[in-house]
Amino acid sequence: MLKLLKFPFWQTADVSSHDAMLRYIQSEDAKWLEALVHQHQTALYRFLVQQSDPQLAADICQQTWLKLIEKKHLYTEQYQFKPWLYRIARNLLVDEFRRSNKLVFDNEIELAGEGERDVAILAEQLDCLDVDIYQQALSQLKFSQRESLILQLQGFSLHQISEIVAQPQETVKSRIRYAKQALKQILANRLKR
Amino acid sequence: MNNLNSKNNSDTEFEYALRRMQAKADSQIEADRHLEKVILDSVKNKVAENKQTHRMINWTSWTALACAVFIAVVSVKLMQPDFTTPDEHYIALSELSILPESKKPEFIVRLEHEIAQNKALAVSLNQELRDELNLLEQTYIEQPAQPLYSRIAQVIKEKDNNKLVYCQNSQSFVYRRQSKTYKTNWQQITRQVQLVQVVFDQNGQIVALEPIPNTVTCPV
Repeated sequence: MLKLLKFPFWQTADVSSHDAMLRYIQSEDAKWLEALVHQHQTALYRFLVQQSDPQLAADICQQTWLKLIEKKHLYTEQYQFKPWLYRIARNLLVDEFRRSNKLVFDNEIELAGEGERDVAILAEQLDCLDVDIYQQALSQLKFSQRESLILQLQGFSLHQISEIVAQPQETVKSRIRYAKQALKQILANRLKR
Repeated sequence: MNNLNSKNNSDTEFEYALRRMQAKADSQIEADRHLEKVILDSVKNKVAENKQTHRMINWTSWTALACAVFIAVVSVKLMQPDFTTPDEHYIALSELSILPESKKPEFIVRLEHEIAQNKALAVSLNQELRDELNLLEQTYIEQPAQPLYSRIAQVIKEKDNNKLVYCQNSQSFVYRRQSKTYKTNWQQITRQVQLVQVVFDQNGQIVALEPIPNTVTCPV
């Protein structure tokens, strides 16, 4: 209730993120940004945590929203808000990884040879799996595969993922396929123990 | 075929199981409310800061614009002779105004073209011109219905003679003529390097020369 009183939900709740962003650009009224932060911050943080660690994810989240304000003039009618936001966050994360030499970009040729051995893993087995084991398996994937897979599992379309990671849709499709195969392999090995 | 179907089914089931697992994993990552508050605060500050900066930019740009206009006006005043508020002393004939394009007689158009092409001949301030003007000055003054035109020229001193060279970056003017007696002051014109209005009648004949005091160079 307090939240509803604090934020002008009657003005912002029924507006899409895209429209809220356009209205913010037009009016420079912070209330539209606040609505966007409320709507997307948690999911964005979860996405970033799975790519890095809580400390870095928090830092990147903060930078992302400030960068969004800084680059608002680049946002136009043709964009969708959520992929645009994630693209900013993803770029900041990659920059940070590059600065700290944590990022090794995958070689696509190397990827092409990978995962040819498809391992069978039952859905029931996956359902019974501990989340921590799943998280550990996820963390063993290559960065580019993991980010594409998580984005897809969070509901982004191939087209949107391709915009976020700035790669052609075919590349994204391959990365997701290899990510799933690698994940199956890791989980199957784990289940055998 | 059966194998293929069963593989597709198991892939789909795996896909769904993966989504369920991801949702479970997401839900285990707690939303950081403190972080959200920090972000909201920094977002509000940044927006306020931006607004402040915009206001500053607006203020400074208006000031800069005002300064630029002031400097431009002062520069124009210093560099060009003041045609809009003519001095009665040297515009002895009448008021003059810039000749509009639509009302330019053919000879002015031709003259302007020649000036632009650097083909306009310099007018020699010789005795012949003096004699012609002496005759014409009385004639045109007595015909107030006829309009008069002018171009600015610079008096260039040569060894034995002076000549008028038309200024390139100046306008042609038209006189709102009054019936006034006017006589070219030759002494004043040839005394120093200066600018003069070369006055023409409708046929392009020079009928008078009017010195423009305190000016020595053509408008830039």
